[in-house]
Amino acid sequence: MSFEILFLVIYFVAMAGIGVWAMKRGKQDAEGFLLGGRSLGPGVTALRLQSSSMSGYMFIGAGSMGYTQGYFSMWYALGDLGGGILNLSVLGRRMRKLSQILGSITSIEYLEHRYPSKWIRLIAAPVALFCMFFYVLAQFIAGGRGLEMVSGVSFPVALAIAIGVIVLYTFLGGYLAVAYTDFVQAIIMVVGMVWILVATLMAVGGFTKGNEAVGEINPNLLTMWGADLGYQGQWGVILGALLVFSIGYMGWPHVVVSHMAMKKPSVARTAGVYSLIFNLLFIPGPYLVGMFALILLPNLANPETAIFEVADAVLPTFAVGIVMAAIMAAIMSTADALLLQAGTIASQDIYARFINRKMNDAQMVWVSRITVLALAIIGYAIAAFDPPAVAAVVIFSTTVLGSAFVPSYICAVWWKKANAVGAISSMIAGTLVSVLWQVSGAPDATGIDPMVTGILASTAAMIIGSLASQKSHPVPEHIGRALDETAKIGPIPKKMLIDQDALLASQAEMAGRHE
Amino acid sequence: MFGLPAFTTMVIIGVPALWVIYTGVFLWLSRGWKHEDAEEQR
Repeated sequence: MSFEILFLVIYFVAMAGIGVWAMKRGKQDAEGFLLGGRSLGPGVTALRLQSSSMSGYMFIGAGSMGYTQGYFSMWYALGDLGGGILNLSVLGRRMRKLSQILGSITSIEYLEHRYPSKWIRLIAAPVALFCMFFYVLAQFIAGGRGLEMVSGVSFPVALAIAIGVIVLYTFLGGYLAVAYTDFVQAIIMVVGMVWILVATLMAVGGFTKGNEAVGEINPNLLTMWGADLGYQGQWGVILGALLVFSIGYMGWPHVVVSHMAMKKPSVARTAGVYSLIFNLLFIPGPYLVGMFALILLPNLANPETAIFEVADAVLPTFAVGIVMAAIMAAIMSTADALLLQAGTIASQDIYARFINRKMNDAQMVWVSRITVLALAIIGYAIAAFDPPAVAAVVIFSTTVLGSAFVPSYICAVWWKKANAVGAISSMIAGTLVSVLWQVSGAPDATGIDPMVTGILASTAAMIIGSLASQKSHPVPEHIGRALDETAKIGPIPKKMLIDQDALLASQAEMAGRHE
Repeated sequence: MFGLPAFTTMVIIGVPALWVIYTGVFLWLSRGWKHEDAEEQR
């Protein structure tokens, strides 16, 4: 058995061990399973948030983009750097507090509690599931490509193994298992990325010499405008690249659920600092390694394999194993968060909400697992026979998620007039505009990224929809009180938590009457 | 600097610096959040 395979096996077993430990440690009720009993401190919160949003894209798509577009790719990295701190500073404390006052345990349920209407969940759940499927599909492909490189087996076989491991691992436990394994995986990712970046810089003679050598291949690669200067003056595309992984983050249901699982609302403060440090260490690496791969491996048939090939070329054999573990960590930490969230949406937000309101915990777990299996099988069928490019799939699915949900999550805690009509209009407008903009080829024709048009459309729809319907659909009084309390710096008054069950019952009844 | 065009250097140093400043401002503005914990523990 090669060193790389041995390392991967040790890594998989270690992650499974952490998962089992966390599962035994956690509470077994719904809040324990889905939110880890709201017990997470700043370190786990920050690294879980970052590792679940830094996917296989960072090792496959980012490297490929650096290899083909040079410093233009850094626009994505530069937005991404602030994604964590932006998310935690804008949403963190308030979302933690409001979700507890409203008794919400899933990020989609939270939206329905804040904007009481069953249509919120009927629209949000399928949109989120649709985007998450494509996002997780990209993780499957990335995992398959990684194993194919290391083991030498064919892509369909490597893909089957990667999907099998990811699915089994997701079955291990709930949020706490995912959070703790994500925490460890984030550390492995940073160590692996810094190691490969340092080795690459040494191999090309340092940062300045590396840049000069890239400039000799094509001086355009050193500009911020792409290999053929095609993005010069295309500020609509550049703004989209900056937004997709910074502001866009705040609309990803599998990421914002981290806020709800924090031990205390103030955890967001320290977690924000940790997330910035993680990002500064980790994010520029894959783009730079991809760029310098042009010097080390100028004739790569598939740029998506740039980081794997560079690791193989510049690192000692045992270190390649660690870097491979880091790559699998990036893939698995995103895939498990996505699959857990997708299973939660299917079981809690669709099945329990609309089909079987008396569902017990065992049924919830089964619906969740069947959903995960179905996504895995469909994902395999698509990825094995016609695998799309990882970067394109990730950017498309995250663009739609961001466009659909960012205004709803932000306005939920910052704008008292935001109501159900505004939120529903916002989610529909964001989804439709970003998807139609992309499939119609408008980005090429206009030079404007779908993230820009999607966010503008969903924000406008939120404002117009809410203001136009204040009389017909006023924000319920108890939501106003909850928002006042959320804005205050101080503990939640006990009476707001004691009456939670009665409040939720009346909320559901009221939502039913509105329809 | 670093063998890069001036604009590229400015962007790849300037934007991360902005995020660091943003974090500093956030820490300053949220310095009162610790009182929330103190009250919660009491």
